Amino acid sequence: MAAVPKEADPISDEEWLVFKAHECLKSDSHAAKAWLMTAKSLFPRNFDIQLEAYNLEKESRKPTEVAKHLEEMFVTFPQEPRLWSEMTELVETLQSESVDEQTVFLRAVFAALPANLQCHLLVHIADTTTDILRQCRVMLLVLRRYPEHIPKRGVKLAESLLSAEKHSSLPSPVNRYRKYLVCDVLPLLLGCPQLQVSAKYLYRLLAKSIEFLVCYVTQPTSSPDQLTSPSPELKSPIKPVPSYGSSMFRRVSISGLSEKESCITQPWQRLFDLVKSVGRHLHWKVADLFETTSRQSQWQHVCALYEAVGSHIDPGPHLKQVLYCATVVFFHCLLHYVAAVDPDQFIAVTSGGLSGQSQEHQLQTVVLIEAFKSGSLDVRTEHRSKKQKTDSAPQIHVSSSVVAASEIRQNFTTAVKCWELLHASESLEKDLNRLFQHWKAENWTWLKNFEMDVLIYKGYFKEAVSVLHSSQGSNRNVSSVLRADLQLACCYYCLANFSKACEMILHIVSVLPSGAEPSTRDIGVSGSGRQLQFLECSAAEVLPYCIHLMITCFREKAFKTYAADDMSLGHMIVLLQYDWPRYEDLFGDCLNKIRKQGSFTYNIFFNYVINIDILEEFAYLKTPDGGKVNLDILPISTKTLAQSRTVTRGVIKGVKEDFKVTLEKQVARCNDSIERVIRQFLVDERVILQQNLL
Amino acid sequence: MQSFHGQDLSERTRSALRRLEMCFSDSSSATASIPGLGGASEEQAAQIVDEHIFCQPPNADAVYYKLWFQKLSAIQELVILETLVDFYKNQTNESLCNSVFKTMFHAGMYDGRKELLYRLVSMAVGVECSHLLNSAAVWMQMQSCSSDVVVQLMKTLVHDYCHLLGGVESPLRRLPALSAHFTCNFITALCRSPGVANKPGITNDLLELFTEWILADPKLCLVSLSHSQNALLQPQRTTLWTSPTKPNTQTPVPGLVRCCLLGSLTDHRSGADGRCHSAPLWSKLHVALLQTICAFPSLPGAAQLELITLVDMQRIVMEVTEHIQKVAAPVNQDVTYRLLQVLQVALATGAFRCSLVDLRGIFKQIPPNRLLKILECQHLSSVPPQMHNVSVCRPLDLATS
Repeated sequence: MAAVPKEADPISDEEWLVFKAHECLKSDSHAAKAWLMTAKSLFPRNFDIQLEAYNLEKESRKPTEVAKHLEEMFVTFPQEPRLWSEMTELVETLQSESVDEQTVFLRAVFAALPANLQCHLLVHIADTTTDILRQCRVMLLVLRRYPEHIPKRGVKLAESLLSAEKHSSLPSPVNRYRKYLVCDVLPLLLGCPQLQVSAKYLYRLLAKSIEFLVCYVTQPTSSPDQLTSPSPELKSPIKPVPSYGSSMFRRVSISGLSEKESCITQPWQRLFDLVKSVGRHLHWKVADLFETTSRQSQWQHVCALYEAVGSHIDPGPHLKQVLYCATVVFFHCLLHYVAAVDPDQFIAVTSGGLSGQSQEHQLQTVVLIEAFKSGSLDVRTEHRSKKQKTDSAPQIHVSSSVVAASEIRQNFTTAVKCWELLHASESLEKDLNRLFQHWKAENWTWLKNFEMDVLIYKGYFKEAVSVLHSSQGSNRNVSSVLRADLQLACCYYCLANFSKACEMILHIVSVLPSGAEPSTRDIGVSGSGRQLQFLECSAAEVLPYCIHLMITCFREKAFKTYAADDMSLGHMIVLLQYDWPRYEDLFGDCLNKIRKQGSFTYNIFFNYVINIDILEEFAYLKTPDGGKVNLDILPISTKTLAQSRTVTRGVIKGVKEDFKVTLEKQVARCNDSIERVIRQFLVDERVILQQNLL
Repeated sequence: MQSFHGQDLSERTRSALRRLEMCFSDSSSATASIPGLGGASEEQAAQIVDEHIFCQPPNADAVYYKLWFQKLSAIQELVILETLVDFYKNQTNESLCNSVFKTMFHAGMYDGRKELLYRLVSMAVGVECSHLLNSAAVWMQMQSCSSDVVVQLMKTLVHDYCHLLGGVESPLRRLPALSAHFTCNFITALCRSPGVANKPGITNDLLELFTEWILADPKLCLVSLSHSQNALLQPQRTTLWTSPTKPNTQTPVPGLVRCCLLGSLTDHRSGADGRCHSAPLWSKLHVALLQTICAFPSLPGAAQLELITLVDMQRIVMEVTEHIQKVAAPVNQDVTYRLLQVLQVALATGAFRCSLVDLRGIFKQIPPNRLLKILECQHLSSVPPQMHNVSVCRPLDLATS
């Protein structure tokens, strides 16, 4: 409001006119308007009067009239800073998503300005803004409204963002500059048919986009709280439930951006669109590569692209096409695979333990390991014979408890095939390695895990062991450690290093949570050739596998040596009780061996054997019909007893009595939890078990 | 032509209109492009109108015609009017519409036909027939908005739509949307109609309606000035030219300015603060007029025109200053400021031009205040641009103007 004039302090004519307008304003806005119109006609070069008239017009809430005033002021006072601050406010409302009355009104004012003035304003504000992000937001308004500016200003904007990112030395590619580049600028820039840039520049932009979106998708969410308490706007009942996959709805906070700005919906679709846009400029044959839902067709498409390379005189550009298309398909398959088999991979370290996670996410870590063939206890025999035939891919089974089994298998095998293709030629491999070097892919744990899976898949156990050892300690959570340990145990076993395999198994069992219902499923798989399986890392699935692996280790030792190895036999008999009568046949073999030996010494027998069938068989062994086997299985050895007692017939009788009493006592334990007994056996006898396999 | 007599009245009117259509389309390609040289076809058209639309026997003298015409019943009149409105509703040829209207309602028509004209235009407003109203607007301008027949026509409309069918839902409210040209002439004619105590015969309700119209479209009162290219107005083109020595009768602006200023002075229903109850109306109308004056320079050919002529302005200033002396503060101050505001905005936009001498004479009549000083400082210290070179103004005879 203008100050009330005092007689002693005469005011200028212009000020007096503004004062008169203000005087009328309260009682009669029309009179105020008439004063300002008169003032404007008297002093057309006075900005204060124009601004007053403009502000008065704003009160009337008529966007067309206000826009007319603004345009008039812009023509007369193009350099006036107060006008520019008004214009800036106007432009800021365009970026705001607010629907309050004032914002909507100012947006309508902007819309009522002539198109060329709108463009001029936006460009001028963008050009005079020093803050690169603000500049980017305004320039995006220009590019969206006036696509004719895209070829020139779009490239400039992309360059500014890349340069700002470089000079900011930000640690992650998931930063505010790259977000604007990939999600806002590039779709406009690459979607413009008139864009004229070099192929090299397009490759660079595509590489930046792949890096950003892959890192975005694989970045851990900032805090576990965000997973359980999304902001109200993200809780909308009409929005689809977030899930992994193409419509993955991840919540990553990007420094310098609001929660809403940080949220990128459909990241994969964005990446596909960018590849297609680049492809249009470079005449790539992308077609429906990313639209097809079948992994098989995608793979065939990539293969066709690769095969066509040879028919070109200059294969360079075509190899680039293969490189980028195969890389994107590879990441798409791989990250879907990783999200399914290792759901904790992209979740913050602060999440709870294994059981806690399973309750929270309903998704269990899945591990790729060698499978046992049904009816066979050896995983290695078949493997050894097939190892030579590298072209024959192993068969992969997925345990029934794993959700989306078919997708996991398809994603993994397609990822492996793409991976092999990308390493098929020296040129492709070199380009890929260069890209990985730029992306600092050595820090991507999930890629290392995949490489590990590939080694196991290909049967390169020695290499796998060395990689697993080198990555020990880098795993962040319990399930990842368990996953690595299981793979290590499996590799050692396949390398016939039973002692090490056993050591790993004993370690795994010691950390497995107890109380899980044992799986009744047959852990063996059918089929010819080498067999692999995706096993869920739950106690219910892992324990049977561990026990099976140990049984096979001890079986090797007990049956394949000529010398009697009662210890191995005894350990095996204890383990055979698990999921009885699954291993009944093997127990039969054990009995035959004992009968053949005529004696059997295993002093911890009654500590762990509680199965009634097995106890009966042992009682029978002692009888003349059963072979009158000399059993030294009491907790205290019969030899010790003989030394402590007088050697009479009564002593022998006493020993017999002890055996009978102990057996009867043991029968009372037959209803105890076998799982608990075996776990106790594996924990308490860890040392002798390990020593036995050395 | 005998063939028409036995037919149904409606069909006969339609046939006559078809013949008129042919008549004008034939003449448009020949000599009729030279106004007044329509010759045979113009005569023929007039004959068709007389005999087959208004049922006037050929060569009838005035007395006979009067007697004969009265034979048309109200129903027959209604049939003729409906047929005419239908013709205009379906007609897109603007020039044909204007020619037919002009032929039907020529200057020397009898009273009976005038009555039919009033009813026809009133019906056109009621049934929202834009084409007919546009033709009527051109016709009004040809007759001059201050002519008796036009003023009477407008009064009939006011009677029909304000007195009989008043209120916010009156079809009159939508008049600018139907025909801006007609609306402009409607305001012009009513502003020039004489009323009591120097005030035109317009009610405040009607003025409020005008104000709303003008605020919604500040160029509304300038529409008549932009129709100077109309072929039918070509012979009268000189009437569009303005002269400082003659009042501008083509637009309602001078009339409305006068009406606004005098209205706020003569409105006796004063409140406790000394201001009249209808003060907001005058303030609003004043702003609307200022906006119209501001819009004037954007009118094509504005440089050759004056929105308010010297005579207009001198009359306004004289009448207003006379009344100001009879009214107490603050109304007199408010009106003085308004007068100066109109003067300033009109001078700045070129809507009013005069010599320094005339301007000095005008300023001298106005009670002094700071705004007047500012205006004097602005305009008397230097020669305003685009000023008419009128050195001496003849003494005004306001009684005759």
